[in-house]
Amino acid sequence: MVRPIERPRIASNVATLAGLLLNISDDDAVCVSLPEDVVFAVLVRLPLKALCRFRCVSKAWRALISDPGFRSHAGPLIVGVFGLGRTFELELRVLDTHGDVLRVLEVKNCAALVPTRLDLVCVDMMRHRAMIVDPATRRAFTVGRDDDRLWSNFGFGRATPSGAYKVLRFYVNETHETVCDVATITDELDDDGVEPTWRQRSPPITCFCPKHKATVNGVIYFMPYMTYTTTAFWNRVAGFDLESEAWMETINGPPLGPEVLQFFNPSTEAFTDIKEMAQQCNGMALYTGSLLST
Amino acid sequence: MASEKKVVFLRSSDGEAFEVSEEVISAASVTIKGMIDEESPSRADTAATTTLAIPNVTAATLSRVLHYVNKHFDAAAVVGRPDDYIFCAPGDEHPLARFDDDFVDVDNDTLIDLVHAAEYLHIKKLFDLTCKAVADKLKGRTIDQIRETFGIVNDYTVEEEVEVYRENSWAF
Repeated sequence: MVRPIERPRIASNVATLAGLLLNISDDDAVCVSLPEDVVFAVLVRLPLKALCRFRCVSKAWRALISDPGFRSHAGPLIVGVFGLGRTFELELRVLDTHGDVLRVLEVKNCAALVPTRLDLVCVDMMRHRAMIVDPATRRAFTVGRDDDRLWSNFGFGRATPSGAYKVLRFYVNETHETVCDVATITDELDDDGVEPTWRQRSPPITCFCPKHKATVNGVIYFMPYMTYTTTAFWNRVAGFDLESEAWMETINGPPLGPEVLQFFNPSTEAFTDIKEMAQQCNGMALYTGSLLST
Repeated sequence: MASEKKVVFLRSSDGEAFEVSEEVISAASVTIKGMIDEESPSRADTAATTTLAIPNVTAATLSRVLHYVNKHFDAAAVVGRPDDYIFCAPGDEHPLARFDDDFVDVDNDTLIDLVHAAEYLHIKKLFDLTCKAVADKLKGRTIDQIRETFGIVNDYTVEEEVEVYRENSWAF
């Protein structure tokens, strides 16, 4: 006999989870109950995609799963620009840590994602333009004008403490000088060709690579082009402060590997220094043969 | 004081007693560590080993839990058996990942019992593992399967249902 059961909220009904697992809805003998926090602990471990699907079950389920308190327990999301195989088309995908694609947004060819950790993302469109995308609302607009001749590179971040979103752009002009300018991203901008005001700032010392960067606490940090110990600035990191829109003093980066490589012999438990190899080492491999046999 | 390995006995709800190293079980279970700490003043003057009653867990489940605990929390067992030591390169899975997968590859009743036991004994790693396993079993269910098994009446109007399906269409 099937008895319809009133289930106002998932978390408040502890027998339901066991019932679901056992695929039994009409057997009184099965009465395994799980405390509310266990049900919660199970649900927060579901991939976001399954949870969103389960919103369609009932109004109560939708309310619980959409609750900010519940959603804050879900893992971080990842955005990435991915190619589509044989064609040159690219798309912007939002993924969760289970690897499920949660949302796909269209981007034009030749795009790279600017590394950020924000609620907006910036897709570098290379030819002097960047697209600012809000994955939640799918709103997107382009800043900068298409220019085939000019190479460009973008940084993106939020100034601290003002919280303003700013883009930083590098390009090489007709006279082969590196130009660096900044613009504030505001809500008034949309894709109707409204261009933000670009403010020109001094360029970085040329040995820093606009490509290798990370934005932390309102500062965009850049790695040097070359990290060989023989090159200038090899372990220095340049920083551009988005609030003051000025370059900071370069800081010492982390040491790039040990100065002296050491070989460890597991049988004798002894370390041997390999000083000669320290300057030029592009990787090591294990050798299992013996040099003494011939 | 004898500094040799102390053991405690855990008695399941159906009366079976299991021996386990005090050190290992204390590292694993917050609940049992609390019980042992409470007992310790009275234990000092007697040579008898402690038996702790675990009224919420059956022998079948308790023996599984202890198997997990000995595998995950007994440092001596891991170090003492070099054969089991797997060379672990970056990106390789954890040496116990296979063990964990097999451990939760059980029928639903057993799994629910393990979730209960992990919760009651407060063994966080086991709780995480078993809750994840339950979630993995849930995630493939369709909306209709869920409504059917939960006995939930669809309370959306036709318009609302169209709307909520449209809103979440990307998840199907």
